[in-house]
Amino acid sequence: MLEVNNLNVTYNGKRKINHIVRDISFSIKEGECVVILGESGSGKSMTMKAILGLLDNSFTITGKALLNEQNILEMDKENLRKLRGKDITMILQNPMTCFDTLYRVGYQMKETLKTHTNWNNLEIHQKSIDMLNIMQIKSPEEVLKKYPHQLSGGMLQRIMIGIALMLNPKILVTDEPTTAIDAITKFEVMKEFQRLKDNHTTMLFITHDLGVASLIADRVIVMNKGKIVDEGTFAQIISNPKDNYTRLLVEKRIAVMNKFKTSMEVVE
Amino acid sequence: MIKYITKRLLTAIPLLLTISFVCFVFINAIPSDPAEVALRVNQVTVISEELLEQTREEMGLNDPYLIRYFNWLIDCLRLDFGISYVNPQRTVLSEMIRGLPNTLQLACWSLVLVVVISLPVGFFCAVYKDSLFDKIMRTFIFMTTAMPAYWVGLLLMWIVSIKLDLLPTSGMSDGYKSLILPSITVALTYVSTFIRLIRTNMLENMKQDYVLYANVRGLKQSSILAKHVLRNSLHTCIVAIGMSVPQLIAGTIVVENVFAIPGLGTLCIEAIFNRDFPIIQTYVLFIGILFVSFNLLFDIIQTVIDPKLRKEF
Amino acid sequence: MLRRLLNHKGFLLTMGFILFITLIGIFAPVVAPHDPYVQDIMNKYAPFSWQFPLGTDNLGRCILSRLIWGIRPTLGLAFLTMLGTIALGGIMGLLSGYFRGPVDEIIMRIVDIMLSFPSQIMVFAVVALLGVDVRNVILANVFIKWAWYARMIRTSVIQHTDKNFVLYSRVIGNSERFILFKHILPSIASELAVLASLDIGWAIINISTLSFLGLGVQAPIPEWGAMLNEAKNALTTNPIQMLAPGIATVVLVTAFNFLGDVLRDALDPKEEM
Repeated sequence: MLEVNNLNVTYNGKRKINHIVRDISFSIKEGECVVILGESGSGKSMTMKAILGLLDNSFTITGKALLNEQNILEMDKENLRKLRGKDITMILQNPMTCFDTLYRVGYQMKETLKTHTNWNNLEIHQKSIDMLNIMQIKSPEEVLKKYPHQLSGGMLQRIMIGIALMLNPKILVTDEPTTAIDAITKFEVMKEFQRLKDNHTTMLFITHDLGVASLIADRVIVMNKGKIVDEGTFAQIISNPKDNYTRLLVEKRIAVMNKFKTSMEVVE
Repeated sequence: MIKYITKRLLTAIPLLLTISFVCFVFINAIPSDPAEVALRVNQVTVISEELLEQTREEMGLNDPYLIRYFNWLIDCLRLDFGISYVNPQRTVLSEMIRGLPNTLQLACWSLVLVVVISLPVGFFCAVYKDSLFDKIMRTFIFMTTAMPAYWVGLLLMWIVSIKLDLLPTSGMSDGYKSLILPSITVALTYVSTFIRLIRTNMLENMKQDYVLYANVRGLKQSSILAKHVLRNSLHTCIVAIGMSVPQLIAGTIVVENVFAIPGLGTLCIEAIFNRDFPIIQTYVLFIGILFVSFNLLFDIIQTVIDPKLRKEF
Repeated sequence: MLRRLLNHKGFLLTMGFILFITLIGIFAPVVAPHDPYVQDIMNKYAPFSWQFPLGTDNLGRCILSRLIWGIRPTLGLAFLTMLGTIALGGIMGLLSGYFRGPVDEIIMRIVDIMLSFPSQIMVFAVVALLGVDVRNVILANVFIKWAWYARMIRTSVIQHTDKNFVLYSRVIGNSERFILFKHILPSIASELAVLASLDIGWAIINISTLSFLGLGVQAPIPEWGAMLNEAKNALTTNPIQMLAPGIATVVLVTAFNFLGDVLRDALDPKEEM
C-alpha cells in the first residue's frame, strides 16, 4: 500500500542544518494498522508531514514514498494536493484549533468535498449528515450550522475523522489524536479508532502513548532521534525490545499503561 | 450583543468627558486673560481694571471652575465654540466648517490609497515571502519610515509638478488634481505600517493549525490563501486601519501645510502662530472625539464580524 | 550580548557612521568650509563648485556648511528630547513599578490617558499653549512620549523586583533607595538604551517637522527642518537646497532605525527551531 524508502528530512536553518529524519524505511499493507511510537521531537510527525508534502521550502526531503507504486515525493504540488484529503489524509492533534473559526462547520465540510468530488450541494449535505450520524453526533443538522468554537473538542475530533472518512481514503494518518483532549473524550475517540480498525481501514497511527498503541496496533515502529530503532508487533516490543531506547520507553510506561488498560476495561 | 454595545457606549462617556475637561483646562491655562482678549476683540481701546472686572462677571469667569466647565460643555454640545480671537466676526464653528471639507477629502483619498496599496502588497509579500518582490518592498518600507512626510511632499512636488509639469504644485484651485500629490504623501506615511501589519499578520495566520488542516484536506492553495488566511487577517487589519483614521486626519496637518491646502491643519497651524486659542482648543477637541468614536466604532465592528467574539456577549 | 554586537558588521558600520556624523557636528567650525550665516546675495543659487561643494542657497549661503552646522541642532535636540523622555519616563516607571499600590494606580491612569490621545495633536497643543519656541518643542515631545516609556519601564521593574537578589537585599534590610539604585536601575539600564536608540530617529523627524512648519528652530539657524522650510520657496530655482537636507535626514534616521533594530534583535534573540 504505502512504502517508504530511505526517507531523509533536513531543516535548513540560517545558522545550522538540522537532520530531523534520518534514512527511515517502512511499509504498510492494506487493512493494517501501524503505530509509530516515539517521544515528541523524535521526528514521527515530521515524517508524515514530509510524505504528505506539508513542509515548506526550508526543508529538504530525499528518498521515496510509494503510494500504490507511485512516488508521491516526486509529484508536482497540484497532483499531490489532489491526492491529499482523498487518497491519503490525516487527523491532527488539536481539534479545537484545526477549524477556521470564521466559517461554519458545514461549510468547511462542504468545501473539502467540493474540492475532491463533483457532488452537488444536496448530495454533499446528505452525505455530511450521514457521516455525522455514523460518527454518533446528535442532531447533525444543527451541528452543520454551528461555528467550531461552539462545539466540544471531542465532537470536532469526530467531525475531523468523519471528513477524513467521507472520501474513502486509502490510508488514514492520525497524528497524536488523543493528546490534546481530556480523558473522557479520549476514551470516546479511541473507541472510534478501534471501530475503524475493526472495519480494516488502513491506518498509520502516530503516538507517544504506549497505552494507546496497545489498543490498536497490528505492528509498532519505534522512532528515536529521527531514526527507526525498533519494529515488531506490540507484544514483541513489550516483551523483547531490541533496542535500548525502546527498553527504557517500555519500562517507564509500563506502569502507567497498566493503569490505563484496567481503567479502559472497567469502563467497558 | 446589544448589551455589549450599550456597555461599550457607556464606557466611552467618561473618556469623552476627560478629553473635554483636558481641553477646557487647556484654554484656562493660557497666559492671557480671556476677559482682556474679549475686550480687545471688541475693539475696546482703553481697558480699565473696572471694565475688566465687569467683563469677567458678564462672561462668568468669576464662577467656580466646575460650573464654568459645565457651562462651556453645554455650549460645546450646542456647537457653540466661541469666536476666533483673530477674526472676531467669525465664529470658530464657521472657520472649522470652512476647512473641514478639504481635510476630509484629503483624508478620504489617502485612506483609499492606503487600503488599495497596502492590501495587495502586504498579501503578496506574505505569499511570496523572501522573494525578490518581498525584499524590495521590505527595503522600501524601511526607507519610508525614515522619510519625514513634509520632505516626501516637497520631493513629489519637485519631481511631478515642476520637473514633469503634470500636476498643480499647491492650493486647491484644480479640483481633484490638486489632491493627488497630497493624498499620496499622506498615504505613504501609513502604507508602510499597514503593509507590515498585513504581512506579519498573514504569516502568523499561515502558521496556524487551521491552515495545516486545510492543506491536509487538499484544498486549493488559492482558496486557502484567499478564503481562510486573507479573511482571517483582514479581520484584524480592517479594525487597525479603521482605528487609525483619526490619526490620518491629524496627519494631514503637515501635508496641508506643504501643499497650501486650506483645511483644518492649515487653520490649526495659523491659529498656533496667531495664538488663536479657541480654534486650537476646538481642533484638539474634534480630533479627540474622533479618536474615541472611531475606536468605539471599530471595536464594535470587530465583535460583530467575528463569530467567536459574537457568541461571548 | 556585547560580543555578538561587536561581531555584527552592520552594527559596527552604522555605529561608526553615527559617531562620524556626531564628530563632524562637534567640530563643525573646523570642518565647515564657510560661515553658515554669511550671506552673499550676489552669489545666490550658485551651482556646485570647489568653493561651494553643494552650491549656495537663496541668500547665497554655503549649503554644505549649513548642513554641517545643522548637525548640531538636529542631533543635539533629538538627544536632548530622548534624555528628557527617558528621565521622566524612567522616574515615573520606577516609582510606579517599585512602590505599586496607589502610586502605581495614579501614574498608570495618567499614562493611560496620555496614550489614548493622538500624540501628534498633543505636540501642537502643547506648543500652542507654551508659545513657538525650540524649548517648548522639546518639552512637548517629552510630554507626549514619556508615558510610553513609563509603562515599559514599569513592566521591567516589576519583573526585576521579583528576582532573587532584590528579594534577598530586602531581607537583609537594605534601604529602599539603596535597592532601587544599586540593583534595579543597573538591571534595566541596557533595556533603556535600546529603547532610546530606537526612538532617536523618531525624535529627529518630529523635531525637524515642527521646525519645518516654523514652530521649532527658527529661520537663520541651520537646522535641517528649518533649512527645508526655506528651501520650499526656492523649489523651482534651486532644488538642491531641498534635496541636501532631506537626504541627510533620511540617511541619519535610517541609520538610527537600523541601529535600533539590531539592538532589539540582540536583546531578545529569536531562537531558530
